[in-house]
Amino acid sequence: MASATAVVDEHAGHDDHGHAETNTGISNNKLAMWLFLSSDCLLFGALISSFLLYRTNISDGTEFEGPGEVFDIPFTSLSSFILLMSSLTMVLALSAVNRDDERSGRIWMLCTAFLGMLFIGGQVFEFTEFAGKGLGYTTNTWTSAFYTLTGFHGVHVSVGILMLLGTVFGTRNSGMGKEKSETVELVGLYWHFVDIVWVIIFTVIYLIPIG
Amino acid sequence: MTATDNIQDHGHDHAHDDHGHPSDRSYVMIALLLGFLTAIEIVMFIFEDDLPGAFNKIGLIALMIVKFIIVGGYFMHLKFDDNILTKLFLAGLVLAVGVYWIMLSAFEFSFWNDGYEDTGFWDGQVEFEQRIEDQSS
Repeated sequence: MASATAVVDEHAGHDDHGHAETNTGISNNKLAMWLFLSSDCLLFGALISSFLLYRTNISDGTEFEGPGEVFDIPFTSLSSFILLMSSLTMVLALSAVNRDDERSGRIWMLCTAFLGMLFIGGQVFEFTEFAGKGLGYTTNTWTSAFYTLTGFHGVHVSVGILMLLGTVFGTRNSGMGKEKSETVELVGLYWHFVDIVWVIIFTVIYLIPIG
Repeated sequence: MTATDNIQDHGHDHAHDDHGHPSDRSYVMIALLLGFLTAIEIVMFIFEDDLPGAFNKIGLIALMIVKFIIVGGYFMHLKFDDNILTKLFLAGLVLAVGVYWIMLSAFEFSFWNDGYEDTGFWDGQVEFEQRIEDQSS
């Protein structure tokens, strides 16, 4: 058991939150992740605004009458709920790691990855359904904007799944105790950001009617 | 602060962990709240025809913003972390919203009607493309 002195020594060079001492009081890795997420807002801002601009441009010579014809809102709502719940499992993973409960942390992270895979599976199913209805990437500017936006989001989710699995399996030898909490927190920040972006996409693209 | 205080600071209580973050139970309650808000969104979508258009849009956007703030504040811990992180994230967000709002305005896009179709923007585009074709032929 660590002595009181050891606890004090352990915290030398760290603030009350166990973070490294920097000019900002925040670890460089965490600051970098937030900076990346902040810049990613611009990427998704561009994709969402492009979609808004082209959302009524559906004239393609086919019988496609608009998104209302192809969107399956109950299915997409279920996907949205799955992604929201994956944020819960992610935050429970971080909570477990902060308690030094490595086993629970790993299980919650694997649950998060699994829910992410379910979401991606749903997106693949949706794209396949659209393609089956004759809506390809170049059918009209609406489909181009839609596939680009939701596709980029799907890529972000996929990268998040890789980050989760990489963290779980990459720490098999070194362990994933409290000392890894910042790594898990950074993966979690990315994952929650992906969730936040979907909150916007689900409302703006799927739920808000045109006109 | 004594060494004993330090040890006590790192003990757990039931409501918050040692980072001042909510307990697991609180996280579950927050997730249920997010699920409930999503359910309201879907109900609003289903009864879209029974609600005034502007009310429906404003309601959905308000719910979206509330969900955004809850996920950012509690799950991403912005509520508990240093303010500089909130400012950093908001800087990107405000920049993105501002830049693309201006861009959409330049295309005379309006969120409250059918978008650019009512503005004649595409009529102008068609005329422009026709002129280019005429010039090249």
